[in-house]
Amino acid sequence: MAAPGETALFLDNVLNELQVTDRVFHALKQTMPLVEELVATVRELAGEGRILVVGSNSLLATALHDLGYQIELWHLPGADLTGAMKRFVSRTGDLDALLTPPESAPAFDIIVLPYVLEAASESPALVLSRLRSLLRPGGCVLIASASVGRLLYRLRGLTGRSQLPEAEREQTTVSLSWPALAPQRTVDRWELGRWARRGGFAVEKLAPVMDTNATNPIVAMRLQDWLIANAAYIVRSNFPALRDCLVATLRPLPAGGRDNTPAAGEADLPLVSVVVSAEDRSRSEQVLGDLKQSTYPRSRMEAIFLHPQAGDFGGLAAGDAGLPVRLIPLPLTTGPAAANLGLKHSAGEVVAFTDDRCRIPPPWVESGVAGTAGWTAAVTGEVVAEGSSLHPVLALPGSRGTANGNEYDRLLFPSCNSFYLREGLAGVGGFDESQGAVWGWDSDAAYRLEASGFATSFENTIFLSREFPVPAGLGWVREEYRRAQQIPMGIRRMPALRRTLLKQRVFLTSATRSFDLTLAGLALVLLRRRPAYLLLALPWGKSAARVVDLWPPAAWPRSLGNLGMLTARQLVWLAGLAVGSAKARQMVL
Amino acid sequence: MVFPYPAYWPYVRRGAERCIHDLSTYLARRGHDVHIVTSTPGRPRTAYEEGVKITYLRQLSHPLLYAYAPLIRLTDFSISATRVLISERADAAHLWTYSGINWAPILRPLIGLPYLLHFMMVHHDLPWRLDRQLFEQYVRKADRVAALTEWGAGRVTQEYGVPCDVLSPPVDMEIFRPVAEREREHPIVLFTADLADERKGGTLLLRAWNKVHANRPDARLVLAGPFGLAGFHQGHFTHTMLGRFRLVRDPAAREAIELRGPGDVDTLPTWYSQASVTVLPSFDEAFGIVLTESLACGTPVVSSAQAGPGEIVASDEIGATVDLGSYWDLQSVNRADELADAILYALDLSERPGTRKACREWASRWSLDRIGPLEEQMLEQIVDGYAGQSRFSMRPRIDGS
Repeated sequence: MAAPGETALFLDNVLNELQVTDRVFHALKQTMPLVEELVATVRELAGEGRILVVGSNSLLATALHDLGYQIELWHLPGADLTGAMKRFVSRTGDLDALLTPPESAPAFDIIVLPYVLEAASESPALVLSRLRSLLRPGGCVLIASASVGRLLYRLRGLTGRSQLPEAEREQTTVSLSWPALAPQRTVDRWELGRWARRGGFAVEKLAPVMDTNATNPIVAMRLQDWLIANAAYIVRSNFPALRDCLVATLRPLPAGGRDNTPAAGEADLPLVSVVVSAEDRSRSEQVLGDLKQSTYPRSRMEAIFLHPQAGDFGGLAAGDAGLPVRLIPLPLTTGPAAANLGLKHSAGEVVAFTDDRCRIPPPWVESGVAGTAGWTAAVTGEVVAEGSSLHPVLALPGSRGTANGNEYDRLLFPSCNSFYLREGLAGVGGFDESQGAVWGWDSDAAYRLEASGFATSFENTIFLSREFPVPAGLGWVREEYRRAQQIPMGIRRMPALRRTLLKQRVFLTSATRSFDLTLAGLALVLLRRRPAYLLLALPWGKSAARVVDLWPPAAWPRSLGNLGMLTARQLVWLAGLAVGSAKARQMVL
Repeated sequence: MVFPYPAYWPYVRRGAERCIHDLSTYLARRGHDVHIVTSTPGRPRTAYEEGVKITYLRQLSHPLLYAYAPLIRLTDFSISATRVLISERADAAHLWTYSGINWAPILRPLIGLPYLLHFMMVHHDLPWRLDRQLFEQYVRKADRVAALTEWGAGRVTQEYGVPCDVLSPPVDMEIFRPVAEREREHPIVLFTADLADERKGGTLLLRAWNKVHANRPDARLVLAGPFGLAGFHQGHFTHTMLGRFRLVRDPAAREAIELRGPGDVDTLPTWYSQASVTVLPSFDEAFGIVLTESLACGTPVVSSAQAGPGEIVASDEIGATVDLGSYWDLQSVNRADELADAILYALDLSERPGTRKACREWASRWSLDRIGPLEEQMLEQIVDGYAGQSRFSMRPRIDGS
């Protein structure tokens, strides 16, 4: 690895030795920080190897060559390149032609794309997935893109002007440094991350870069313009988010992604294995019937029923044409062990998980397959509760035992409505069986996939309905206490969920926060003898108002009952969370 | 021998810079100590190339400078270069009218530095009376004055009343020679002059290209010039040919234009050799080095019939000319039509057997082997003449007294 400043000094030497005109010299000098970042990153990634640069400038190509790398350049017409570097040009053409390379064996350790991705006509994800095949094992892609957050773009937006002005698009004739490519889109760090994941990469490093100087020394400026440019430079220097360019290092995701290109015909569609956790024969027949009505071709589906050993499920597989059905008898049909067995028996590229309490709409499989394109390895959607279901008094994550459609449940991947890329899921070891069927066992796999670089998502198009049974008598107390107790451990296992779900990593939701504040207020009233602390109960009062009718008086008994039930549930949850927090050493209230 | 000049290779590669390179290299080969004092946009340094010492001084560039007082860059160079000249104590200096050492008449007796003054342009922009007076002294106190052509020498003598020799820019026939086959399938019309300099006639060429392409749709126009002098050509993208490609109305004709950039010195002979014709439709051109380079590579040329190019392209065996005498000629539709006809003629000429040989033979009159000795002789005469007439000098005598 190069010492700090060594790369800058090296580049300065390279620039001073370059056989370029003075105008090109100044243009290259302005690009020094970006080239320095790219060269420094290349040196960190590999001490030697073969590097492809698409649309290079003379400084970058010469520097990489002088450092001993084998370089190959894909050159764009009109871009300035010294004669010494032109001999490394292997392909020349317009950008879209270059970004559709002929099929070849993986040949490069690093591919560098300076200002290329935003100018490609095709989807950046598609471009990346194509270039991925050119990378040798352990290789990576370096991307430099003009950041949408750059100060200039923000000011243009504030003044009502387009961030990609037409005038700039027309100025594509001459280039003294990087090829003059007309940007087709803007780039932000999140979008870059999404493109990367869809193209089969994870963003390993992201660095904002800015120009060497506030102004180009050879471009004449009036005093006021010069002062403005320098003020803007100071602002950019101090706020990295406003800098001009983003440099991203993309590392290929492990194998297991799905081809991004649209299927040409039915035979090109991925095979989907639908794993159904079954308990009841008649409900299972209903699920099978739903699957037969699917808009997805039956020839590209299979159904795997995990059914109890005791039941008679044999008839499910009989007399069906077109949709293969397999039956796997198990002592316990839910939980991670059963799901892993389903995964093991599935032959599909995509594996869907559901259960026999669900009703599956016809587009469900088709939507799930669409959602798992590229390197999106896990998708889920909304689970709509059927009318006969348990009414959730508390809108808490998993308060029904599975997703119930509130905002928190977008973060969970319930076992009744999830799609996975089989190879990706198998690559992270499937579902974790060590904890048993505890809260979050089904979501845990998706978060592990995300941690290994795959994308996961919630898609509105993937929905189904489900019946949530009402526990008899006071059975809900035991059931919800158990679940609340498991949540802290689940949250501890899934740091990504913890970061998103918790309010300051203490409260589970706004509902638990308001109830806890109420309790704290009551405690303070008792301790300090000051009724003003009751004001802390106002947020909870507001949330409780939805179960209380103040008029007519005849409704009061029912309202009191509701309030009591709500309080009881919250107490159960508080107790469960408190005990679970102590066990998991993870404070969740 | 010292050659002070604000710009030099690789940063500027045409005109005086090319001349300085070829002449200084020749003198070094002849055993002289040659020192080029110039400036760089990068780090100040000293380099040695082909036996020539090159001192790159710091170049002053700033956005405010170019907006309000661009000539300060030249003054800054003058001061820095003068320091080098004082410490150098060379036998003689080869100065150009834009070398920036306008106080050479004072330096000459003070440090004992006789100089050859070489006129590099037809007109010199001297807006102030003081400038003009200094320049007159610069010319009159020179030990020798030279112009690039006979026509230019006549003008100098007429204007300043001093005798003026002719010292044309040389062309190195060893470097510039036919090194590649001519491109037959898609004949190349090559333009290697500065794309950002309006005087070079780029816009006229674009107008003419409509007709050329209509008659020879197989031909390609290759623009292989630099993009202007850094700092001094500010509006190069909008006010020059670079911003006026829409003058070529037919999209197919526009498609047939290739913007290649200035390339390298090493690649130029190949580009000239592959081309069918090199075009320089400029006015007020003191010489036209691209024409002699192209001819040396065996490629016919098209240029103005006036000034320097008119003297070079004096035979229809090696090219054709158009009467271009002023800026308005570059805007004229009729001249564009004539230029197109001249290019079409030259394209035909390039296909005739014997053209390559004729062009090369024609260029040999400006070969380095012929011009180099003239330069050497002039400088030696200056040194000898100065030694004979010098009465006051801070310079030590050869015997050390």
